[in-house]
Amino acid sequence: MSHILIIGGGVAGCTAAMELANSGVQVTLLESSERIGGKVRAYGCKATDRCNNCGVCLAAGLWDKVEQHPGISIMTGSTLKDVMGAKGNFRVLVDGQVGRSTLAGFESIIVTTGFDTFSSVSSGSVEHPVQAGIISGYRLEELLAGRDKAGILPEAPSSIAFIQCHGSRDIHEKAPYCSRVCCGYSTRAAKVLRQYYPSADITFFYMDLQRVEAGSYFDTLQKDNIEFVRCRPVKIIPGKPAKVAFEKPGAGGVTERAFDLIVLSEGIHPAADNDRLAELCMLGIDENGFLKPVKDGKTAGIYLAGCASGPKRIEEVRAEALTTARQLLAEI
Amino acid sequence: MNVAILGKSQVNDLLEKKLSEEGFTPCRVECLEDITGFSGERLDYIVRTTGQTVKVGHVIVTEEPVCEKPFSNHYRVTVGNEPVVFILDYPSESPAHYTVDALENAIKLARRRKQVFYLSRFMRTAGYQTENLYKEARNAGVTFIKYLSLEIACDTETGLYRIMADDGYDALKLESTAVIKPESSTASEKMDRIARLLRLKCNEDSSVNDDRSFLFPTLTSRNGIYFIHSSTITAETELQDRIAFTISEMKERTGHGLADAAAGKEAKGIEIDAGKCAFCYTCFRACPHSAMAPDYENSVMKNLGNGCQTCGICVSVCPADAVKMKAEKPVDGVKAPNALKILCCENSGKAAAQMLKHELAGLFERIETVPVSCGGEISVETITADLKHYGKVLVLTCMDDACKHFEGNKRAARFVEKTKALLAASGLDEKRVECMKLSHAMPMALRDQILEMMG
Amino acid sequence: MIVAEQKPLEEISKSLEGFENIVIAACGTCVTVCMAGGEKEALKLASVLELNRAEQAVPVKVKVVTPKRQCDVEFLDDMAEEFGGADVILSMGCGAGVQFMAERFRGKLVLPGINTKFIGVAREIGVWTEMCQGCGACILEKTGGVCPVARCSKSNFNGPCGGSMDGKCEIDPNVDCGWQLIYDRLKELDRVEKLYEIVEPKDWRSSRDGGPRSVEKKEMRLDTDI
Repeated sequence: MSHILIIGGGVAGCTAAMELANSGVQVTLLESSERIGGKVRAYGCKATDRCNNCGVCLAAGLWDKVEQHPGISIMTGSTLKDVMGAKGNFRVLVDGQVGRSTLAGFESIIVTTGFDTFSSVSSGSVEHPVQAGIISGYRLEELLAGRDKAGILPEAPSSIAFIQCHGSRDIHEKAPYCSRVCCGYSTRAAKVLRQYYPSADITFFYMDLQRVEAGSYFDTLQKDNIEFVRCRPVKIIPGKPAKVAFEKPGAGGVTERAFDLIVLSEGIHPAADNDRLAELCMLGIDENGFLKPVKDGKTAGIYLAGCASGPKRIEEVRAEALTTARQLLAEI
Repeated sequence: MNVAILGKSQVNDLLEKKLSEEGFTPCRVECLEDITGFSGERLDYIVRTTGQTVKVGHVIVTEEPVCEKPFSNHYRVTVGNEPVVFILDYPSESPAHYTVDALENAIKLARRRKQVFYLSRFMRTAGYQTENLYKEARNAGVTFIKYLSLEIACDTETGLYRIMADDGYDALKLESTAVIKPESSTASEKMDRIARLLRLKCNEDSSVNDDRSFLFPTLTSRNGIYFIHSSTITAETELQDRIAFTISEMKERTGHGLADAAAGKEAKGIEIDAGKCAFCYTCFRACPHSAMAPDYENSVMKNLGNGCQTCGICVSVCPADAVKMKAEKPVDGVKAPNALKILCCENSGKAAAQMLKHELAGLFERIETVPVSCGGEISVETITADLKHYGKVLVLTCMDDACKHFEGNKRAARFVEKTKALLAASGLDEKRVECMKLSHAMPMALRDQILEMMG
Repeated sequence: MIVAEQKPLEEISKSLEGFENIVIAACGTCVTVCMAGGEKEALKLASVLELNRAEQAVPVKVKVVTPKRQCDVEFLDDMAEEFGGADVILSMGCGAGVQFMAERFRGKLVLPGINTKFIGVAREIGVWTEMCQGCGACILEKTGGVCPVARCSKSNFNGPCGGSMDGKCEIDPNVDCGWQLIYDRLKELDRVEKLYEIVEPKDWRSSRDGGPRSVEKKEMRLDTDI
């Protein structure tokens, strides 16, 4: 029976694992953290009285299915140390819960190591102060996932600010590309916040607006009393309450506004150890730090799927993972 | 295997190439008016045109409602120092591929020392191609203006446009005869016709599968029929991805769309009791996947196995009780007057309930969770039958717009409403049955609902 | 087909009060299609009755049987023994079915579960509208295929009453004006001149007004002259 190694147990890795295992292929899933699920496992539903198309439920039940599938063996707390051999017979060295071990006999490898958020790659600068009242987009997702009928936050906020493009789109310090997903997830999250806190002020500070959905998506948001302020990147002034300082183009001068809650909409950044992974897995690194293939998957026996190779929405990640797995199946 | 490509589109050439590479035989029908009939199921469709009848295994619809490259086709070279003005997203949002076309042409003109303005409401990026085009355009000197509202007046005699762009802070006035503002995108009559002919479910704006993120970009309501809508694709890489995904779906054995071919699902299917069937067409009308077809020889409905996604809506709506899901082993439950039966949709409720197993460990002795394919499988009579053995019944189903089967969740909600009315009318407690629309990613809200019901 | 509607639950429950062995006879043809008295509806009704009696701690046994039709006696003969132990039979068939069952099972009480409404058609799932009143002397030839007896609220025969508004009848804004439909249809068919043919006052003896009717296809009978 063919045996495939999948490095990274997030949406991409788990989707590919299920597709392969359901077709009778043996799968070993390597996950460096304590449990599979990656980022999406913590994300919350952004439905109000109807689905808002955030894509999180594409992973519904996925983790349980992977954990219970007899054809998938999961190694959590395990880090890749070395890759040897070639297509048809890869051997890998892994640092795991029981020390170092060698796993052998893999036909192919799929790298689905995902991404890092800005808050995890930067460290408490004034752009990202670590304090109450200022949370990352990821943290907001966690709060949404844990919401009950009563509320999302411990106290109802009277004013909420979303700082868009946090950590992206500035070549001096941050990423020079658009992460594609933040306009989507943050405006959808705002809809839920609006549903739970009907009288709160909600303001989006943005530079550009990515198209999220067809039709009058943004007009609908504005009708819901969500304010959009276009301005250059803002500065956040920590305090109780924290303040947002921004400059409106053509207005001259800087305005400051206080908010009970500031959400930093952060994007998708290349994972911190991409360089190491690229070397181990014979992959390349593109101009923005994401992994890219050097030889095509079929020749090298090494495939890439998910956000490891660049920003993608959840449904795109799943589509890519499925397509990659099926490509593999076609060759076996 | 033959694959029909229906419609005229810039993607057809690439699509044909990829299909041929993968061993399929593409058959193009570019003029949709030529199509006179359509029938069958995945792996066995029949497309009838004025010229011929073709048997195909799959169908890919690529018809685009609007002009392919409006900026390439329409821009005129200006004389003198008139600025060239590109206008996007007016009066409504432009299709995605306009961005690349506009940027490429803006760059060309800017390099020829023309003054170029690029007015848009939204930015679009997908992959690095468009990112790089934006950079190149900025470097070439194109002026980007993001407007919130736009007013355009045109003097028909002189051809002079007066444009007022407002970005919320300032208003910019522009005057030029060299203005390119392509017609806005609306779903064309052709799409309506094709959707009716192929019996596809449409969104409210008559577009066939646009931006339903829980369905993949190219799936439609019917197995074996795909839709590559290049209006929403900005980059070549995105197009390649969609074609690759479509081809992989075509090769996938069971063709259930998103369903994994997990053990157990293979055994599911629909069976129709010919003796009971009244041939009333209710299941045919209700089926969101057009997977029922009349069998005139035997005067009954039959289920098209390759088109069916076993949602069970046909089971719940059949007035003759003639349609059933193929036998599944009944679960021995915790039947008791104080027990709660949770009927949970596989796509949402089941996962949500699972997440609470730890949280509500004590209570779970009195809870029986039974997964159903879709809320649509549940009918008033299944609930009332359950109420004979359980104290309470909770139906968990997907949010509106999230139902994989389009309206299975709404049918479930309606039937629960009706059950409540019947209970009330017969002097029973209508709170014994509830319906909750949710997703798996809000388990605490479900916890609250369960606690409320179990007292 | 015959279109009917289930009686309100309160009415059915009341009529079944005091009976312990209840047999619900659904019908597998017209009332199935219009979702009033098919097997699904009968099973639902049976469950609710059982729940209701359980709540009151009153014993009951409900059985559901579904003859294909209640208007051809063989279907009833085929399952005659199902009704043996019944204290009461609730027939979900149309008026014809209820009466035929009562005839066939003399000595058993047969109660109606539905209200028979009209001869009509399905517009969409769950919606049926009246088309024909069975007047016995069809004049659809004169009115472009739209019936003035059934679809004009006043059964006018020679034109509209003048009370319609935007094509809707004055009695109910959801009801189309029959004569608007007739005119539109004749216009489409280019036969508007038909409206100039005066339709004589109807001989209502061909309708129910002439007494209970019967139809005989003489050549199918062996004992009469053709």
